[in-house]
Amino acid sequence: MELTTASGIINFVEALEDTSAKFYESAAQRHGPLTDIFISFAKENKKNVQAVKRAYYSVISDALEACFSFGTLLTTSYEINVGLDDVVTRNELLQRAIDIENTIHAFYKKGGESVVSHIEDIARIFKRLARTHENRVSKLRDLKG
Amino acid sequence: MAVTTLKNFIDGEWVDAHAQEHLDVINPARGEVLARVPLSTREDIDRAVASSKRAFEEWRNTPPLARVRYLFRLKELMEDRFDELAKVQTREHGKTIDESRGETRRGIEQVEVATGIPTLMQGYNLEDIASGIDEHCIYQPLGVFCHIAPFNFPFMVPLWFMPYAIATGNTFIIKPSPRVPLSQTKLMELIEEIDLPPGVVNMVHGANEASNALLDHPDIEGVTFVGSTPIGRDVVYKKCGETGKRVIAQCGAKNFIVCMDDCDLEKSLPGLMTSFFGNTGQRCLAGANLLVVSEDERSYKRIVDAFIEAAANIRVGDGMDEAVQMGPLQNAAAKQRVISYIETGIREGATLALDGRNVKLFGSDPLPLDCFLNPSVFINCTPNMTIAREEIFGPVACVLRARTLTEAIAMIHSVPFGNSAAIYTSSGKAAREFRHEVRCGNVGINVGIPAPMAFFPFGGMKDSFFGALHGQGKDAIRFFTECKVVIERWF
Repeated sequence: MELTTASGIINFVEALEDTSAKFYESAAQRHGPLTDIFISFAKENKKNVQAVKRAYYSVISDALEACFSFGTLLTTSYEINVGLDDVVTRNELLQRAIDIENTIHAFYKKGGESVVSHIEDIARIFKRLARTHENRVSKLRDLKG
Repeated sequence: MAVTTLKNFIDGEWVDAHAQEHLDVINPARGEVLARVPLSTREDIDRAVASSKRAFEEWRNTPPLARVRYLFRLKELMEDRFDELAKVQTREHGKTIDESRGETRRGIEQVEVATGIPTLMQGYNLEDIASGIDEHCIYQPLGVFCHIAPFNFPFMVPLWFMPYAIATGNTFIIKPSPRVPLSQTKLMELIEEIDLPPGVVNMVHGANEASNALLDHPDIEGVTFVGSTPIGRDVVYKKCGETGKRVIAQCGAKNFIVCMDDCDLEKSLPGLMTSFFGNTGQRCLAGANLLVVSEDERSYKRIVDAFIEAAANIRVGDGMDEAVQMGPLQNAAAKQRVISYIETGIREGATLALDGRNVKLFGSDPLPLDCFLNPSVFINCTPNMTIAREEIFGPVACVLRARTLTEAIAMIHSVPFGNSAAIYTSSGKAAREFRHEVRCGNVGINVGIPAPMAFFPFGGMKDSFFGALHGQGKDAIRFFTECKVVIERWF
């Protein structure tokens, strides 16, 4: 699906972060040594949704270009695989997490660049969250070794 | 399921109107009847005014700080019910959910500003105007005010006035548009929850009879109105003059958006689309005439082609669908009115480059087409054409061309309206000249909808505004108060 409106994007962010949070909550139960970091990621996912929603609800205005906020974003480019059935080893689990984070990072990066409206606050938060997810990739890679 | 008949909110209670006539409130996207609205009579208005008058004495003597504490509670409830309030607007009006949320936010902002009344309402004084004598100017409320609301912003527009009126110590009556009465009904539910003293805010549903009764009523001190120029000028402003009422009448518009050929087109297009087609063109700040300033044919064509392409790609559908960018017109008659303007444009020789009458809706859900139009764009328009001079109030853009900015400003001044105008340019010099010269109340520079924030007055000139003081900001405080000067000496 193509996303261009602010509300469409906000909903997609919520779905993306929630799905990822659920992945980490399940994954945390699989490998004891990774529990803390995965739980912290899941918590942060929920905060990320709140941060985006706060920005949206505080700047949304009838006069700004909410319906024309973004250059087209295709949701199909940012689908994440959160299945755990085929994941057996610690490294496979970490690789799955890295793939998820890379996708979310790419979404926020592209989203931040695609804001063509005056809603700069949303662009700013997308750029910040792109960095957050990029940092996660580094952490996960370090753990993978 | 039985359709609810709406009640008036008077003296803190929900009461039946004395109405013999009712109208259906219809969701324009789906055609479903949402409620029945009573067309209240003079008797209903008399009852509301009597209640507001009774409430005034105690309310004006309630300290400003105590008065605004009710508004703090109202703001909190509005935030809690934010999406509920937005969805009501989309259902009854048809606008997209993003637009309704935007409207909700701007309504809340009015309440936020009005909570500053203990500071904003302060007067001034000077010691020793003569030896041992001091002089004070204090601002006091006047009594009962009312608002006659339009259909295009069912939630926000009454909030341009009501919070300031009551925070300054007046009492207030809202008459919502009978086409979209549910948003204000929802607001009254919140008013009921904050336990505002009975009669401080009343709401009476209705149409012409109710409006006329408000305008005629001797116990109403002032009227605020947002709507068309013929009604605002020839009825509201005139009657208020005859009966000695204060008046703010914010009226019609025909807004020009000037596009210089040096503008950043990619960054400008979202603003242009919002300006011309946001709220389905049903806003007094909507862009109506796209005035391209260029001597160069290629540059002119580049701007116009990009504009038409962007307009053609707008997704039209049910505003509740978050992918939709433009909803339906608010009612079927409005659609027919827009179509008749399109036909006039063709007849008068403009070229219909994009014909929105060929309705194509986004989404797989079959919807009734009674209220839908896609965006239309006319090119080769001239300033004397009907479509370039009259307010269409729908998703129709008229493209005109000027060779110079001076010529463009002269074209803007040739229409009788002066609500807003905007310029898209990369030139500071052009922007500065435009800002200085253009006779419009709200001016945008690379902003397509120059809607003033709550802490600034909402401008308007020429046939777009009748009155002295404007809504919102400091103007609103002055409108709802009378200055009393006290000269004081003690022996």
